[in-house]
Amino acid sequence: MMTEGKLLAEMQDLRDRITGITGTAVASRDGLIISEDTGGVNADNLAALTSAALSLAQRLAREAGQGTLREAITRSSGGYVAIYAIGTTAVLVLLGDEGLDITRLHRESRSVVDTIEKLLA
Amino acid sequence: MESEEGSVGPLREALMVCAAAGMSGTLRVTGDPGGAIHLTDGRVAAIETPGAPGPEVLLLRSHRVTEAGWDDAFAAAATSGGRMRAELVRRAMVGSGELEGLLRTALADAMFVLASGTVEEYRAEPGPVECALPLEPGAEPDGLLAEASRRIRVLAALPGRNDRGRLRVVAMPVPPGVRLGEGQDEILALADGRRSPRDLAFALGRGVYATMLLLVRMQQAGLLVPVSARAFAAAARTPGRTGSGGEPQDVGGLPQRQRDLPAPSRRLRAPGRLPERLMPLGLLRPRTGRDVSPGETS
Amino acid sequence: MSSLTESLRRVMAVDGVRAAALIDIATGMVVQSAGVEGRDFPAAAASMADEARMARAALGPGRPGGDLDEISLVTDCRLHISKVLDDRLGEGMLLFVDLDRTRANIALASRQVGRLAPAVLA
Repeated sequence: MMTEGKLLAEMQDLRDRITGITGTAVASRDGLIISEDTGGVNADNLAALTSAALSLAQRLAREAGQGTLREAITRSSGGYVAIYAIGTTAVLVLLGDEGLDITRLHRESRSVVDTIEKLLA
Repeated sequence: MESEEGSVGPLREALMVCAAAGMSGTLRVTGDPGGAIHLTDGRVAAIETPGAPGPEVLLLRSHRVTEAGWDDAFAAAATSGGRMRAELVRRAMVGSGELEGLLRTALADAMFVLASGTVEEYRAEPGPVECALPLEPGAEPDGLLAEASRRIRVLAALPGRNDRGRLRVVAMPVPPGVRLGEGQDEILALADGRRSPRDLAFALGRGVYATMLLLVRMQQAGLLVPVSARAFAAAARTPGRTGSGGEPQDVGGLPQRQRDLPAPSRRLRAPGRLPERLMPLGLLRPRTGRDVSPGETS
Repeated sequence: MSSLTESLRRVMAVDGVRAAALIDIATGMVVQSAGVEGRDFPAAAASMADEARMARAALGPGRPGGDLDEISLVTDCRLHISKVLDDRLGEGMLLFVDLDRTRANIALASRQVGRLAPAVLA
């Protein structure tokens, strides 16, 4: 129970800390929701797609000989989706609007991933 | 000498130096929200900040210009080496004066947001500036800062809380006989207790300051209430919208973080249920045997 | 080359016009001005924007007879006209014009301003 509360608190805190984040979710690698704060976006669909997208992105990075995937971002007319591997068993997805503070996101993503990984361990 | 509102002082300092040097380039402002002020010959041509919607968002989200139209104009400007502004006007997607008005109000809004936030440091980067819709000729920094100060003062003088930037509001049922105008119905649809004025501004394609004023008016009319732990919990217990029970109390001083909001619905899936729609994709092979539950490493 | 500056210049060229300004209704901001004197104008402009908004609210949406077109304020020597400009962005703009009543033919000046108004945002 404690872990789930802390995980959600961390996710909500992230949304407050980084301007432009509109929702977050943590899912297992096989596409199941672990915790979600998506603000109305279908979390089940998101979890399934995110898990698949992470796998694809990691394979692309390997194929291109570019080492370990750090972050996969899709940028659309209405905002961003950013995906991060949490260890080997989970994935973090962040939803942002057009004004997402990408610079800040880049600065903080490493420590966010570490924090969540520890919470899930 | 009067002390200046918010971060107007440091911004003025930096911009006066740039103006005096007739600088063309970018003044990067580190802070919250921080941003980048693009200058041409010492005058402000554009401002990018996560804290306020720029001209593209203002035009597209308000549906003044369609996405397809924007893309066409962008492509045409890129290939012809011309200006996005000229393309939008030429295609009669927006009037020339109207667009100039939009660029000027967008600049003022961005400067207001920068000035209302914190400025930690700034760095001048002279050089060519690339942005889609620069104001040409640019705006005088003085004028933008004066307008930013005015807006900060107006907000400070309004009754109620002064942490409006962080305020989340949630919609109340509309009293019978009340007519909604000026985009109020859109705000009611979006006011879910998660969105700050800045978030609402982005979602609507309107300025942050204009949105804050609108939110104040709607609160005064009882159409919105600020989110507090108690109010939100009461809402969660009552089906549908809040307001059918007692008055949600505004606990003075919104918490800095939203830790004390009750958790939104979290679903921990029962093991063994892989969403079926993944099967046809062939990207994920169904796990045989046991599923990994959260916290376990596989 | 600012088209708003040019538009206001044309308004200023009308006989009897002492000052002109473009005011954003949603924020009360003076977007552009010409001939304006005194440091109080931004506050006055914000009040004018508030008046326009309140007048609109009082009239109500979708009224028979149309939307708010203009607000006039008359003193013994001045006529202030605020024309609502047709603007599909935000809450619209006001073209504020300060006319000198002691000069000849204010009615004519007012009509000329009325003819120039639609072109301001075009």
